[in-house]
Amino acid sequence: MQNFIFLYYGFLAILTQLVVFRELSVLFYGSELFLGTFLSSWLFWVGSGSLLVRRLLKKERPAAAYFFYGFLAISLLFPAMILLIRASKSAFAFGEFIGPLATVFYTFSVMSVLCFVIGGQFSLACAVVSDKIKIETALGRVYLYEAQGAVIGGVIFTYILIGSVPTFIIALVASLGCIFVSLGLQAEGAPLKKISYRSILLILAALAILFVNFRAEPAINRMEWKRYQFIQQKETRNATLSLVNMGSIKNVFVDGMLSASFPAPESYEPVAHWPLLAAADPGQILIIGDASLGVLKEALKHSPKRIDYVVLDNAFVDLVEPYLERDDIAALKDPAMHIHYADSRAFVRNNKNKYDAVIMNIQEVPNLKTNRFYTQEFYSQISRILKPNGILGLSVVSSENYLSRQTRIFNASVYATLKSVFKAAEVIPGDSLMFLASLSKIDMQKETILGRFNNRRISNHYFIPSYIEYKLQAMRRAELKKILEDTPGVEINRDFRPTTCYYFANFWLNKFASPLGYLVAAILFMVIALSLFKKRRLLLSLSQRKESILIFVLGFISILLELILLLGYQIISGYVYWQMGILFASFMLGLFLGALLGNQSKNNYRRKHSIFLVILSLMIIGLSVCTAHLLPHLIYLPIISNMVIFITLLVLIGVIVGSAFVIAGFLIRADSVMEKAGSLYAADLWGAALGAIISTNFIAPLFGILGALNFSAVIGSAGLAIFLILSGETNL
Amino acid sequence: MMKKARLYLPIFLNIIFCIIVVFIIALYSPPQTVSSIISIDGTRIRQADWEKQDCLGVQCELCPFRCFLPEGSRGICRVRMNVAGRLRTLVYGQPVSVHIDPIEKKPVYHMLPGSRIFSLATVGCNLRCSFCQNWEISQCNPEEAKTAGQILTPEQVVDAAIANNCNSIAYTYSEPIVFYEYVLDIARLAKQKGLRNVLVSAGYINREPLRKLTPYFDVVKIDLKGFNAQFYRKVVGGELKYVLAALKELHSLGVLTEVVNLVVPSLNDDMQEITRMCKWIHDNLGPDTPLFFSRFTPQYRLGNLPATPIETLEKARKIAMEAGLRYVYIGNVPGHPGENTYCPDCGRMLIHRYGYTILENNIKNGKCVFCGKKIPGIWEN
Repeated sequence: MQNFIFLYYGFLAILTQLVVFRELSVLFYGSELFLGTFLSSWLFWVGSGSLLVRRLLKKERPAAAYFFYGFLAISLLFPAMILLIRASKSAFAFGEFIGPLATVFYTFSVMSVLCFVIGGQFSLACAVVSDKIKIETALGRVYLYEAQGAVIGGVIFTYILIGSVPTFIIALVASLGCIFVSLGLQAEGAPLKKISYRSILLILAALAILFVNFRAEPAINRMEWKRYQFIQQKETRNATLSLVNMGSIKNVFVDGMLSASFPAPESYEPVAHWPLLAAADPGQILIIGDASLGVLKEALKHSPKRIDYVVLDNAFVDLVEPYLERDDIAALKDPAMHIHYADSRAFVRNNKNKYDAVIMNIQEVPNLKTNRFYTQEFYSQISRILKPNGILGLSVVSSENYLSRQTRIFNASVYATLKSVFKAAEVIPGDSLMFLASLSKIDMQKETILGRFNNRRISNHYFIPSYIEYKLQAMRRAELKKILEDTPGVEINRDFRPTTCYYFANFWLNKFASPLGYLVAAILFMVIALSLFKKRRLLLSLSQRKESILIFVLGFISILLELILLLGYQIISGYVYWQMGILFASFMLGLFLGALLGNQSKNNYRRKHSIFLVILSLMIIGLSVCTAHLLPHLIYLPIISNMVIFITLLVLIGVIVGSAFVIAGFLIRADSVMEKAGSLYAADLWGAALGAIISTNFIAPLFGILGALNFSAVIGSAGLAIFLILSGETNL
Repeated sequence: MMKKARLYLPIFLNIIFCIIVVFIIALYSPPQTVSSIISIDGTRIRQADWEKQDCLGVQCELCPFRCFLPEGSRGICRVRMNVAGRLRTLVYGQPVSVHIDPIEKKPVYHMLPGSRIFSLATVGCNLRCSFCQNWEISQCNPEEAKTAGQILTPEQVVDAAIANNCNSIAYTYSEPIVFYEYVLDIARLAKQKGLRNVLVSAGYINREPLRKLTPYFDVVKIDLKGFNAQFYRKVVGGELKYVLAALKELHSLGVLTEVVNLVVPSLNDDMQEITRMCKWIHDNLGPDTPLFFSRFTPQYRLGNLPATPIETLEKARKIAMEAGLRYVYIGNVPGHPGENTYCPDCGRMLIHRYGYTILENNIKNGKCVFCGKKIPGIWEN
């Protein structure tokens, strides 16, 4: 029974993490900053809970009682947190991007209580199990079952629940599970007051009512989108899609980010017509980008023979199709239209057709995930499917009247990357900067473009002859090109060196730069520095915490490697949901296997445990360096081979970290099992928290993917060196 | 040796940490604190007008903020600074954006339709609108700005406008109030050379500076961002009453004033507020005041807000016309009938516009060709 409860604890922990991540993604657009902030706040608070719980609870009461109350608390906090997140959407300024400071403060605040309780449950679980088995092995046992539960939970959520069951219902069911677990604990003899028994029944009844009444879900959605006329929300595997009305305009938000509006000819007419008018005879067209339905209609005005339209999945089209105008529906059903549900890069790589025009309409901003659509490697793949005078068209955010330093560098990096592949690249200024690239010269003479416009008898709202003439002013375009070409220090964007997304992050952060932000950051640094200074006596006793330090470093490296490898897989093989799920589960499986292996060595003596830790650290350092050399060569391998290699790498990392954690548990000296479990778990999670926030926001963008892997090897070496120094000669 | 290493390790870690902190601060220094200690090139700053000396610093009297500036600090506009006890402008002669635009882009509809206007701006603004369409210019610090190739003296600006066949010069994009001295010098010279001047501003300026400026201006375009004091405070960063005072002042001075209202969904699109605004304009500025309802498109910090629905603009226009305003336009919606100018007497279309293009012009000698009604504006050069 106890083992099942620990299993459920692991299952619950991963489930809450994934559900809360999905909910918060809608608030913060799934950006890199948010991803790192979310992971780090989760890990930080869970670690804090595991470390501090023993100080907050009364020692007279048994741990089992608090363990029981913990599950009750989670049963209430989990659905309450989802409601809070959805309701708080309206607390932020309507339609306003949320700045980095607000993102960090909000995420850390809203996740604090639930995560703290979840973390505390780990230490309490170790205390509960230590009543029956040796203290040294208690930690390993709980970790083993927790990892197992996490694997199961991750797989079930990824492959069964998401996209089929609304997240709020998942939360309710998980809460019910907590209630039943509490009852199971009660049956095992956890001390229980009578009043709590009635409370349990009340909670159960309330949850059951909410559970049965499925109308709670749409009501919650309406509350979330109260400033719009809410139509529908769909949770797909890849994102949360929300369709809302504002007046006569329908708007689609993908993970909370405005992705498309209908009708909005001002946004999709230029995207379609610039590349198609630059092409002499656009008979074969490829259109990439989920939110491109308006572009399809415009492309058909050029009477092409064939349009290939590539989207990741059919969720977007299915959501908006019932609300489209007749023209847009007709465009989808046109005989020339061929819709392909696939990862765009994989489609381009495997495509044998040759196109007159390729239109990229990626609505997402360049972040680490979408950077692969702006790289030299991708443009090279595009160039192979373009006819000799074919045109590639793409647009990025810019500024009509003046390019700030950050905007200039960002735009220049896209331009430089295009120029590194294509012979000719032209620019059309505007709030969205339009790039046109070709393997041969592009004729952008006003007369040519207007001639084609008239010959093809195109009728538009915005993209009309006077607009074309205004935008094609030679002086303005020449000036803009010169600015982009003369921008110093711009690096070409590569798959493993994502400079464009780094420049874009700077551009985006520039919107929020303010003296107040700097002041707050400076105060935070001072507080951290002072805390460290005040704790200098404690730091002198580092020798007693050397295992925790090593686990901290391994936690840092493991999350960095996991995130980098997931990213690397996307770059190499494309984004396919079920494959990403398998990779994520592989890491969790590795943790489980590692914990299993680690438990096998429980009877060894201390010196041998220390040697194992050193070996494991060396293994992960070596793995980082080897992966850095291996990754670029994987581009040439088939997808199945890549899959196997990545799974193996992630399992290996999980095994190393899982077994290191358990072995460190045998070594660490502590007065109580809760102190031992708490400090080690906190070290692991805090290390991972730090790794999460800086790997995607600083290390990968600054050093590149391969540089990040080498960086992790350096950090691992430093951690190992500190461990060896602190161990001294006596331990080894 | 191991023991010594253990002893010094915490100190070593603290030192590394401090070095990292200093490194980060050095790389990402706050713009208005550390960088204001960095000396600005002496040739790029000039004495500014509208200063009042105080024993502890200098007070700028240009706009209603009346920033008090101790030595080395700047006003809220970022471009006026106390240097050695005197108020200086940091952007004189340093435009960052210089373009030739169609006059309809400003949007100015009652002056020389279809003509080209020489447009320029420096960085800086005394407001903080979260939907600013030119935020990269308005919210930029002068030391971060890349000037448009070179220093442009007022003489060079006027010569360039003439050389490019422009009938007029627009001070636009950011907030021309904050580069007041530069505007004044150019406008004075342009007037002498027969060019017209257009000021496109938020109207956040004190009375005296405005009175000194307006004799050189043919059209002043004021962005009345809303008609709600709380909206002005929270979203714009200013006070509505000062903008209304500036509008009244312009009317009393007889300057041709056009008013534009950027309609932002959920922020300033309340029809009751729009009704009150239209009534105020009618009563205080007169029914012949051209009024624009411009369509918002996602920008700056409001990049996640959809564009204004066209029916919202149409409703606002209807309200304005019912309030008695005669020339009410819808901006940023090419091809909409609201772009056109209609005769308030006979109702015929006087100027047919499509975007920035003039398709038809039925105003001759400042009058409707159909019924002879005098139409306010500058129709011939």
